[in-house]
Amino acid sequence: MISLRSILVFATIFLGFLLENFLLQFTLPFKVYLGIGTLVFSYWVYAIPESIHAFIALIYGLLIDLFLGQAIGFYALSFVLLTYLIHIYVFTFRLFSHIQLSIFFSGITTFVMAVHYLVFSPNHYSYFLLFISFIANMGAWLFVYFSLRAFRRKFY
Amino acid sequence: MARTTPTQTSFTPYALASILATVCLLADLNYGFFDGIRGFFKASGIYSQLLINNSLDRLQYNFQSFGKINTLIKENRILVKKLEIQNTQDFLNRQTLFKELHLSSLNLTLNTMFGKQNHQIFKLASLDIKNYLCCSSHTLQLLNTSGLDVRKNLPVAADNTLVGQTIGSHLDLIKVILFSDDSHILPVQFGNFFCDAKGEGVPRVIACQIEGVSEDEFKGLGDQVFTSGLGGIYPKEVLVGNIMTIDLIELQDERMFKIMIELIVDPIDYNYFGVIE
Repeated sequence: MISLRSILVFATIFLGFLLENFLLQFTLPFKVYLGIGTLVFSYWVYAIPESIHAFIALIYGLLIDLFLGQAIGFYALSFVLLTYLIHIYVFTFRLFSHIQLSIFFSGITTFVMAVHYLVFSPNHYSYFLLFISFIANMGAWLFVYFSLRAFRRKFY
Repeated sequence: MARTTPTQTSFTPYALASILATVCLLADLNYGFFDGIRGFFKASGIYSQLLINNSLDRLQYNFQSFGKINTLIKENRILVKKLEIQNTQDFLNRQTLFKELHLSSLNLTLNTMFGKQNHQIFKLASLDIKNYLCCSSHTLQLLNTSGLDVRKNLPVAADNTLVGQTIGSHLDLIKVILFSDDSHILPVQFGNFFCDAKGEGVPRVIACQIEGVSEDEFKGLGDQVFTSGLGGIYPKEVLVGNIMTIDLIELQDERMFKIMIELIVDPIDYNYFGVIE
């Protein structure tokens, strides 16, 4: 059943990807890839794990693939795996500090990014880029976390 | 954070979802299985973007046009206002010029006619037009802005003749009774005849009766009627009107002539009047 909340969540994820695509033109020259869309999705799974299960993650992923014109299934698979991973550690995350959460979520985002490069653009695969992006995504996670938390408390 | 404690995560749905996603991915990467759908979405996205851009452009154009129209309307209002002010200014200038001409003409006339006597010029405050046109009471009020002490029974002039006399003053307004008021009597003369011309209660018309004369005596007198100077109010020999008709009235053994006189000026046409001391 599609609820207003599901649409709201998907809208934020989609906007995250749009923002990511927009920011790429400014960050890529500095070898920085901000995976804001993946971070936003991760946040929602982390914040409301009871609402995002395998099927929902698959749907969100397929829709993102469709809207972004990617190969159908990439983000679907990524989201399903991320959801599973977060669900496994959801109790543990409650004990994590912000920096630990940043490292974890930045790590999984960088992993998705690395896979993306390997599958779609292996010629541009760069450890340097991944390392810098990992650092940058730690900061991006804090931004996403606090923004979406405020949003969730107000609207969700 | 989580509002409910998640239950033990079951692997099966994730495995199924992962397999499904992997199949999709492989099918798409290897065989382009979803090219059609992806193409459709991409085209839809592009068209949507174009549509939005067009709409935004049109909206922007409309806003700009609206802004231009607003500016033009504002400019138009300012110009109309300026034109109105200019027209009013022109009208006032013309009126001032007219007033000066009128006043100087009246002054000149009064000086010529009553040079030895003092005179003051007053502006018309009101003329009871309704009574003037319909009824017997013909009066007007002059504005005494300078607060001069104007006595009763002083002759009042307009243009180059007399029109009436003062009959009182209240709150800086000088009341003037006109010749045509049916309670006013003006001693006049024409030829060798003298009579008291009484107002007829009709604009510009006075009349007097003469007894004991024959019709022949009126011949060759001319039409002009002057003040006689009798009564001590009006100066003599001021042209006030022209004879309109001479009617014979016969009452038993009595014969008289009623002379209807048309006054040469109509007070309605004047805004300034001179009061002669």
